[in-house]
Amino acid sequence: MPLIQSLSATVSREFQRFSRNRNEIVQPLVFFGLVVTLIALAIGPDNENFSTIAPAAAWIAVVLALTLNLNAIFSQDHDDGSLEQLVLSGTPLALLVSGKMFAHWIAVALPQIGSAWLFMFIVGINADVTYALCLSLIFGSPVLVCVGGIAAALTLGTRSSGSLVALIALPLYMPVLIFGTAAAINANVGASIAAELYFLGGLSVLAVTLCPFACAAALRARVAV
Amino acid sequence: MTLFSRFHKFASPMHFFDLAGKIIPWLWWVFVVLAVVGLIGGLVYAPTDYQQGDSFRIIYVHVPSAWMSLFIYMNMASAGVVSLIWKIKVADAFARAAAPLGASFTFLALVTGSLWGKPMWGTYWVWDARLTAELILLFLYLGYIALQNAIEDPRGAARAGAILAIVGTVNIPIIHYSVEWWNTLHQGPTVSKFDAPSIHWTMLVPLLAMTASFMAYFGALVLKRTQSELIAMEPRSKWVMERFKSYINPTL
Repeated sequence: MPLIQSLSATVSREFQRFSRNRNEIVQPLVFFGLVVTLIALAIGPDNENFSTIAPAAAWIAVVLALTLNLNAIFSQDHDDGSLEQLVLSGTPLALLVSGKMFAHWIAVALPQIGSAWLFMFIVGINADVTYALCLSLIFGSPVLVCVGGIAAALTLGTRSSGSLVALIALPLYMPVLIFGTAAAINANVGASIAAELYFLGGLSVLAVTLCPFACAAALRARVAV
Repeated sequence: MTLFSRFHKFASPMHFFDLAGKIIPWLWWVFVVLAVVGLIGGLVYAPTDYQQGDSFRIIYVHVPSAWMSLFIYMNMASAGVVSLIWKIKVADAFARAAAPLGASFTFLALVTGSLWGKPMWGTYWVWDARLTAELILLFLYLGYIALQNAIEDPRGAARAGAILAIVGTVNIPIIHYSVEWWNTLHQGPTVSKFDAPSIHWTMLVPLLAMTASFMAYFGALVLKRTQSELIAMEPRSKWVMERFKSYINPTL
């Protein structure tokens, strides 16, 4: 199956790139730590509502760290010209794009979920809330990567693409943030989190199936001119 | 075949430019007449609301601008679909021209909403569902405009903008329902129930007149702006030269 072969080749190439350039994995983790520290400093050390704020802080930190790193999905391939070869290769571009997004999710988003768990564990949030937060991140983060991929593709090769990609991606992230933090809030009062997770899962399925096509169209628009 | 060729004729920048020039004065007249009817009807003849007093009268600006804010985004997305499928320059120019107008209407809806919120809710801003959704819509518009400004090549900017407008349109219902889930304080819809609107006709007629006048105002402005975008897209083309002969200095 040539399609599956090109998909697996894309994914393994991405992993190779990440293993040679570990900064791209480490920097978002450091950024996550910085953002939660900033939020903790801003709300004060002995805030009794910290157990309700902590999941929100973790979600915001994950969203910001992923947004900061969206450019990495395509920028290197764009700089060295291999992106043009991918566009011209004749293989469906949406397939290659979903391979890149999958690798990005594994290498950048999954460690974020791990560090969110670590953060909750260290500050002593109870296990139910931590569990709800991690599940909501697992169900919600594919949307962040896929929708963010479109924003990264659209802003490819523009000046000041860093802030522009955030400007475009963050409004589209708001539904995910709403359901993700709602799950943690529900877990905090002992309510069911199933509805939020179903919704996040639904959004993820939608994003994973539709976004690669939009992203491929955006890449063609940015590369082929 | 004739329909298709007529469509193509309409889609050529030159014909669109001339057609828009003929339509714009009519739209201005429609706007002025309906705005006078709507304003007098809304500010003078409509009865005072038994709960909200006279401050409800801001709906004659607020509700039409809120409707326009969504309507214009849908227009931009439709223009984006037309631009991506048929590669029609006029659709690109239209979407570019509409974006700042849509952002302005969204901003107007937010400002009038918060001015109404001060006497009603006691605060300029509450994190109410529809207000928040409107705010996110404003961010979508601003992202679109920022993207347009960042890409220098007009064709590339148009294609990127078309994709972003379509992606945003898919997201608008998701944003709407998720924010609704998140919180709601806003009063329920009063006009959308077509069989028996829960608003008296003396209040409804000026509202519809104002909405139609806002539509005409948007139409006039967007056509004018589309004309300028078309000139900016191909400033050296023959049809632009012909129409602006008198402005070109022959000594140059």
